[in-house]
Amino acid sequence: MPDGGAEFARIRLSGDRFTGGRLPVDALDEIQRYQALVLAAARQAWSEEHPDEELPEGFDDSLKLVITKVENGSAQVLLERELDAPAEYDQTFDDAGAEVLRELEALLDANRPVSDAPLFQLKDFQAFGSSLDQGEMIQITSVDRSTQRRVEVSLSAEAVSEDIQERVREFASDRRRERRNALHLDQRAIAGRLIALDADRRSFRLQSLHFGDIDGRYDDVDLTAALKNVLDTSAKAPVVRLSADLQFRGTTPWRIKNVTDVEFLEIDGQPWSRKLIELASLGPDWDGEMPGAEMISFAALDAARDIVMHVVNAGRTRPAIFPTEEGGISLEWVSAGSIASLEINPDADHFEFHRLRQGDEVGSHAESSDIPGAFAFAEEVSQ
Amino acid sequence: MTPTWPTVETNEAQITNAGEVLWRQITKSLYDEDNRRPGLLACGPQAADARKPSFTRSSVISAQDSRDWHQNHSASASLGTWSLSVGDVEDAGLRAVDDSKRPPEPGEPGKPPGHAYVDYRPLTKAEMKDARAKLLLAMLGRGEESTTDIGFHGDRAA
Repeated sequence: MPDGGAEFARIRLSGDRFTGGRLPVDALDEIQRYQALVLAAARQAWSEEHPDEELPEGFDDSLKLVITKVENGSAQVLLERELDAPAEYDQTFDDAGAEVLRELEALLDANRPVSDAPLFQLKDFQAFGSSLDQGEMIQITSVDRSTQRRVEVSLSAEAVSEDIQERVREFASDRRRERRNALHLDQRAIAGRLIALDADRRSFRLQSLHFGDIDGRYDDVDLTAALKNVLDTSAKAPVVRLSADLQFRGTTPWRIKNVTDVEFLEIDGQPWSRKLIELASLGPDWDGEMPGAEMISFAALDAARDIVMHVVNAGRTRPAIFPTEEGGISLEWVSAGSIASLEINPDADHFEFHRLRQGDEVGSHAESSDIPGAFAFAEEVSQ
Repeated sequence: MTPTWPTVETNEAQITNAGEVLWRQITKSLYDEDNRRPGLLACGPQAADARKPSFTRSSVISAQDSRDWHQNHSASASLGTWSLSVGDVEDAGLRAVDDSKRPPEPGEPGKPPGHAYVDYRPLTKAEMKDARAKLLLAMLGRGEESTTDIGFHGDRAA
């Protein structure tokens, strides 16, 4: 965007003053505020992406929105970026437009904290909608280009006078806590389903197990092929583990940056798939639970999936799936008075078998270096 | 075969009352949520515990207080309290040791009241696998202790 006049957003103003597509000059305040908010969100995003760097010259001028049409049906204003706007910040401004709407949605949801809308510290945000008279409404619509999802937020004059003002008071008392929740980077692995990829902009969206959707970027062009390959290999959104810098807002991951490695896990939508994704999501030391523990290897997860599938296809009992500290997997079958385990090492080239029945002084121990041996043991103990 | 046990350290004491119950807090990675029971790693040992998985003594602390302490002071939430008797430990060829009076080493996290460990140190890998399977069978036979979750507020959370 824009390839010559693509729509950036659509603002609809409803109420008697706007009937017949009329646009009072006063109402331009809201459109100016909207532009200021998008620019502020874009500046913030750019600075976070480029710490210790000044904003590039001409950055602000790249977001000059123009009103190209005022349509009938209340006053509906079509906004575009200028035709000669440089394309290099397209994604930044698209993201910024989406961020403004996300934050506005957060503000209108009384169940969400005002800290979900960090732009609210700006006077333009706190004053947004303040020119509306009783019974009037402003509605902003834009399209999230990464998902092609249409996003629409409506704000009534009543919401401005009540809800937003309540938020202003909440914001004042919450500000100190917001400062504590400053952004910080942490290098780590994160797993989830890859649900969108824009190779041109080297950006993607990951649906993580614990943190919802997170947008990310990578610099290494070679990763494009790896990510595309992953998408082509899987019929549905594939599960990947990314080694990257994870940017947190407080304790919540917010952006993925500087991806250095991509691992792909073939997940088949079976009842045990969630457990495999959960294990793939474990970080080093299993995120504090198990000091010294390694991340679970995808080779071990692949082997575990194959073994579980094998026993289930044979009509046998499915094992419980556990991580091992070395980064492998332990499959365990427990029945009345008997325990069997099959340990898969991180390289998935060594399998240890153990079985002990109640009253046994010593259990049976065996091992194999190939997966058919593991299949045979699994079939035997899962009867 | 009886293992050759290391000497019990100063401020430690072997627990000899076979009827005493030891509490074990079960965290997410040790727990099979589908079947609602712990796995083998729950009975230890683990790399971080130096072959001395942690328990607490029922003669000193209740199952509920033990879980509450864990929720307030550990790195990860307890999903429930499970138990073993000292007799179960001995039947598995292991011993239980009270180390609650031993001062923590530098960097070692604080210990709950009545802290004890099950000693796996002299066992070979095969013996260790047999022992923890015996302990898990005993633990599953005893079932989960009835406790209430006060929520996780761990001061060592990652």
